[in-house]
Amino acid sequence: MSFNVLIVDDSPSMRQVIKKVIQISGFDVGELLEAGNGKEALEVLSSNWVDVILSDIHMPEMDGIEMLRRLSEEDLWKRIPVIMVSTEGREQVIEEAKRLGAKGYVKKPFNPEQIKEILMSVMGKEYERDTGQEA
Amino acid sequence: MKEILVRKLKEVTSEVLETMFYLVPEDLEGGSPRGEGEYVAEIPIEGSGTKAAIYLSFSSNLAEQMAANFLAEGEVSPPMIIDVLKEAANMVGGNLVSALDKRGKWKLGLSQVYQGVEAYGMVIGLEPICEFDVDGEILRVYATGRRGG
Repeated sequence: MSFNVLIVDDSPSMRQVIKKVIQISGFDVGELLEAGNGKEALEVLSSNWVDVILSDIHMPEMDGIEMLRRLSEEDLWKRIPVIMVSTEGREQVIEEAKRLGAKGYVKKPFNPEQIKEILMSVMGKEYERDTGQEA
Repeated sequence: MKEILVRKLKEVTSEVLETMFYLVPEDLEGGSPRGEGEYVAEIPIEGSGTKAAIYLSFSSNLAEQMAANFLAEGEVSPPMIIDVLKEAANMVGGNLVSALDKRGKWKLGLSQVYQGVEAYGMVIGLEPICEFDVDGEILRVYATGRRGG
């Protein structure tokens, strides 16, 4: 099962690192799309099919929390699993992200295995949900 | 309070360098020979009526090494080096705030990187609050803070 990934982070170098981690993790990835903040992410989503989003929280223009809020308001987008990848470690911010629908959280700094594991976990659940079979 | 800040800064700086840059910093307890770095990355922190900032000072060699390790590339363009240093400061600041501010009163600003004379100007007159030897290169960490921001 191939899936399209959207990486949202205001740092081009961090987007590049996450892209490489996904590419070497052995996933059957279709398109790897990028956005520099929440606003750009919504623009990408309006013209591309995305299966999973990895997003930072602290970003200029539109942060990851506001992006989650916008996603939760759109029927087409609210089912896309979102994994937060952020330096933010405060409980109430992470809880707010989960309340708005985030399916996972990876704290920066991370090691590549953490990204791989959470993607496997989240996409495995999506596969089970869509097909009724174990991934 | 300063002791806790210094201890946490050392912890988060080491964690960031080891995990994302594959570099092992050694704490220079006794200080290091002077001479400022070519780059200074600043991360502003604001909250509870205080404006603060953390500054990380890197030599050119260390900045290039960090960028190459982070991106797993032999050569990294100057704009990408600056972006990598911004991200390093962001990770240090974010993890420091997460460790010290459990009630969520502090907010991170956007990180900036200064180079050359501008970098020197950012830290002139400040005493580093911790210093590391990273593969023979010196990394200095500075902090400023004032009430009533």
